[in-house]
Amino acid sequence: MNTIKNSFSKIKASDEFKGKLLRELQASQTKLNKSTEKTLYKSNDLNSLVSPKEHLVTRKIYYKQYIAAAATFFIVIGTISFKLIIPGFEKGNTNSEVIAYAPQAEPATENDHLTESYDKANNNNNNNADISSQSAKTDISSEKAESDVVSKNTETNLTYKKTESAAPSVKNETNLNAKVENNMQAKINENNSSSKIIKDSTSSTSEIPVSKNDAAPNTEAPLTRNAMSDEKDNSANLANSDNTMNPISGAPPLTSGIMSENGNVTENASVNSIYVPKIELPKASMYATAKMRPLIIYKGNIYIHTSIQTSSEEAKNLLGQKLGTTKNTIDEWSSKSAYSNELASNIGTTDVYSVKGYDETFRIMTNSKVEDGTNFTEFYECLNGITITKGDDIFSKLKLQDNVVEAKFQTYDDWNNVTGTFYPINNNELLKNLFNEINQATPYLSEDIEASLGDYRNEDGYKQISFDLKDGLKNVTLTILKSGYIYYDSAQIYLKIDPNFAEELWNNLNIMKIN
Amino acid sequence: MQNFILLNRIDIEKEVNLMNEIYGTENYIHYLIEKYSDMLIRIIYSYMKNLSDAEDITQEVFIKLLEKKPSFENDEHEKAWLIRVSINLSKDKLKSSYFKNTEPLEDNFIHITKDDNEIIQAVLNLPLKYRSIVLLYYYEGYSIAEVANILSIKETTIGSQLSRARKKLKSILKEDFEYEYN
Repeated sequence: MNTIKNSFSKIKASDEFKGKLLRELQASQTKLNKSTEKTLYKSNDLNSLVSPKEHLVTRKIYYKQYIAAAATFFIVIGTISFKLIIPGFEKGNTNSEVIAYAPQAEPATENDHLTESYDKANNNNNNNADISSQSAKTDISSEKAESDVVSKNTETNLTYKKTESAAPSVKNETNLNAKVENNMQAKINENNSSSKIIKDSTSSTSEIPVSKNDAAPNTEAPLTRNAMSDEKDNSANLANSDNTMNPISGAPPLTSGIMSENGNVTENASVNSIYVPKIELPKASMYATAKMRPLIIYKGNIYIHTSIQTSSEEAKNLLGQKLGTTKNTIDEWSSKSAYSNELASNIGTTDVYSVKGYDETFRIMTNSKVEDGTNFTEFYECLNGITITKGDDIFSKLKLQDNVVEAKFQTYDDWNNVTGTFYPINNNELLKNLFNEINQATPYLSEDIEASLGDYRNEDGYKQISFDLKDGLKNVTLTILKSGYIYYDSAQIYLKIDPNFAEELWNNLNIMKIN
Repeated sequence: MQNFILLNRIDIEKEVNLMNEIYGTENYIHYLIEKYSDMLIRIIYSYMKNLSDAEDITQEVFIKLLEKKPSFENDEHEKAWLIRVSINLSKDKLKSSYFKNTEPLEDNFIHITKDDNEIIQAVLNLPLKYRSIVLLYYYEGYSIAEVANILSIKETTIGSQLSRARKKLKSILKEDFEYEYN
């Protein structure tokens, strides 16, 4: 028996309330009808001696004429504009079959592609620092981000936007506000479909504008870049450089990002690295419909709740140094200043600790005693504001290798219906190969890849693998896509593994095989 | 139903009736109340924690429906709209300085057993964002995907929040909390 359903069924509208509601709604409807009629009747253009019926008819005819005139006007304007635009467009476009961009004078080189991606990431930044290496750039941006964070902390104001102007490569914002996310998503699409400049590195003066109409939408950007690159499947091209402003999408959590373009041009940058932007918290809005994830602010970084668990007994072994106590100062309507307090959170008041064996810049935990004396423990991770070159950059933090006690998988239906049904994975060789593949995997930001993955959240495309570890951590979860990607929720990134292994893995995660 | 419907020389009474054909008829109001009032009372009660505010907001929701006259593709669409509006209005009221500075009168109008009250209070003591998810999942019987669609939240978020809510409920209710699925 569904206990909650049984109990809540007692809460219902009384007959008295229903009667009162019926009367109120009927009265409201009558008022609405009258106000509609009044609106129709009020018109200074109508003859007051004319009957109401004729008033309405006259107004109808007036609207009809108005619509026709407006339509004709816009058609004329549109035709004239079209005719004016076409000649100008044809002059500049020597190859009418080119869809993505006007052809360059010289064949596109790899530098051009890199340049485009860097421009896309850096167009609003006037800092044209010459950074020679990817890692150096990463260091600079992270250092600047860190220095900004430090300065922000002293100012008690988490204005992460400072990282936009300070960091030479990063201008990203991510929001936890779902509504803002939607607006930002529109902005992303708008930004991405707007003109992009491809700088030809061979000529500093030539710039080939990408027509707004022709530019591939943001969701297709990776494919466009692939089309421009060599025909071999160079998945590295899909991964953005450190300077690429590819936003964080509204992947399963509530973060999203907007894409902005910096003017920086970088040389010698790796195409395999991606930068996971720092999560920026939204401005308070009266109409915000944000659905916030549980989070803690620690040392200026946002740690997001994970699904990792542990038992009450093992929690004692995992508790590291006490970092403080959270303040329940954040909710959906908090202003930005609320986030500036150390250990500000939306999870209530609870003690925060480092996790033994794990870097506290990556993972922290909360612990509280329940009435019966057992520990209630939760884990939070910070995987934003970092650069990832390959899967190992994240995977090494999880410490799964040689640490797994139990591995199990769950089908999409079992996960979706929260049945709690898992199937064991006893193939150690498979797991070993999985970890190796993940270490070498190419990372992609959700924003860049999710649209191309289609709707994989179904029984045919989605499974989850959960690991219980020797140190007591349980339910460390990876999402497995049949299409050959691994998704880790805390970082909101996809890792592309070898397609052949992906197929082998998917086939092994089979209930029939287990049975 | 809009002013821009081009009807030549139509009778005013017919036009007004046309606009009210779907919305506002007595039959439709009856239908709304019978089908949705209990559901809305429950969901709004989970936010406001008192019946009088729940009734006020329920009335507001229905009035909004009659005012705005949204077009629905099907009953589920209609239901989802009502749920979303109820939640939004509840949140608006919770935010209002009036509500923050007042305490609702004690509400003894719900006649329930002690066990039921314990479970209800356990749900009401959950963080705000979990309550509607719990009700939509356990009471209304929506799947995670459907709840995600209604609340416009990602499925994985719903899943994790539901998991947290269940854990909290378990810690409070212990063996009294059963969760069985259709």
